[in-house]
Amino acid sequence: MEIIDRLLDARCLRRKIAGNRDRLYKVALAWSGEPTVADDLVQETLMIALQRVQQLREQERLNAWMYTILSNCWKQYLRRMRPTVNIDDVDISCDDDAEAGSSKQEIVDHVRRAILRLPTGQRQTITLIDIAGFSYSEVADILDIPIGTVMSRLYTSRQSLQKVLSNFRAPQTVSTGYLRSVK
Amino acid sequence: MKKMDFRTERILHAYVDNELEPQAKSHLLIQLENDERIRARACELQRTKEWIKFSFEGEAAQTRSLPGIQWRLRHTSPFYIAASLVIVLIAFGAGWSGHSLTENVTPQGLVLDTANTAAPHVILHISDSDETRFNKVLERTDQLLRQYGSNGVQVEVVANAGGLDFMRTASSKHIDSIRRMIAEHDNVRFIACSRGLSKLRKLGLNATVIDGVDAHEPAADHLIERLTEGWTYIRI
Repeated sequence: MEIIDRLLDARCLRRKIAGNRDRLYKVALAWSGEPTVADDLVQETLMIALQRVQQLREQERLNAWMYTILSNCWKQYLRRMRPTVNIDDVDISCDDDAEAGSSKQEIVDHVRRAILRLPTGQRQTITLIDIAGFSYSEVADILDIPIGTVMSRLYTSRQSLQKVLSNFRAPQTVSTGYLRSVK
Repeated sequence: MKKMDFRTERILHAYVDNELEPQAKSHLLIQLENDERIRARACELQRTKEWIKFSFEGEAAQTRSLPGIQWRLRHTSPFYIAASLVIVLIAFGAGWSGHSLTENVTPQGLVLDTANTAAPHVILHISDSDETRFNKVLERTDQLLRQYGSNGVQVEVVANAGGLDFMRTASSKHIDSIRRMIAEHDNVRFIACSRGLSKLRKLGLNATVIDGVDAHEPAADHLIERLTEGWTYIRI
């Protein structure tokens, strides 16, 4: 009976792995900005996870474990595609000049672009927390970094993204006195 | 607006991320009630967080199924599970470790335990453009066919990314060897990633593959299907 239970467990795990595709895809897309690259990363992640599922000792760590695999696939991809560029040196300043009252899609596009401008570490951290919903300690575990680094990356990346979002605020009510002085 | 001090800022981040301990949270909630500036900052952080999440809300991966998994999950009968159990017991009994082979663990050659199991199924995966690896793929394939041919071995060589150079007529130095293997053995297949070939075409490169090479599906899909079917996977 124990072996049957273990067989069923393994099947259940495989089903969970397959069921993670969309969640992984969102994060992979935020990291890469390219739907085809994101799709490849997710496929590779699923493939590796299916292949190594027997190595997973704590089933409750399945989700975090899969994102660790995704992160490793992403690192490999970066090594293959941009071997001479240190992605952490990429300028994070944002030149987009968005106007207030923009449409939802415009804001979404700007947010995505702003995420892509973040250095890789910050991008990974903020998306794992805000999109995938992991806790600080889980992200520290997935990315193999201290929890303090998670917090500082989060702080810096949100500062950058807020600059983008602040461009979309509706204009502040300007005082009548100021308008009069213009006239 | 005056900038928030670093400590308060961190506490606010932890608050919107639901990382605060109950005591710290209650302390902050009181601060939020009394301090408009902190309240505004918390609201701003929450808004940023929500936009990030929302920006990817509707995204879903392509509808590329994991072949084999869903179907089997729906159609598995208790008999199948029992049969699987028998096979597993036999395999364990024969001392088969059950893990995939890698090049590192079999330096002198490939050893598949076929004593009490069904015919071995092996998938060789190549993704780098490297002549040494190409030679190794051919060597391993040939070895498997010779060594386990009488056991009904099934071998598939799957190439993607740089490994496609192995199966493209424009780049392969092994055209004759691959053709010969395909002609001489019914139990060997060479598969080139359709998506990789499509990318090469878009770049204006010649993506014609050697006669007999199958190029109808993405490599990742095929590998996943085979892995879920229990094939032995070897990355070269």
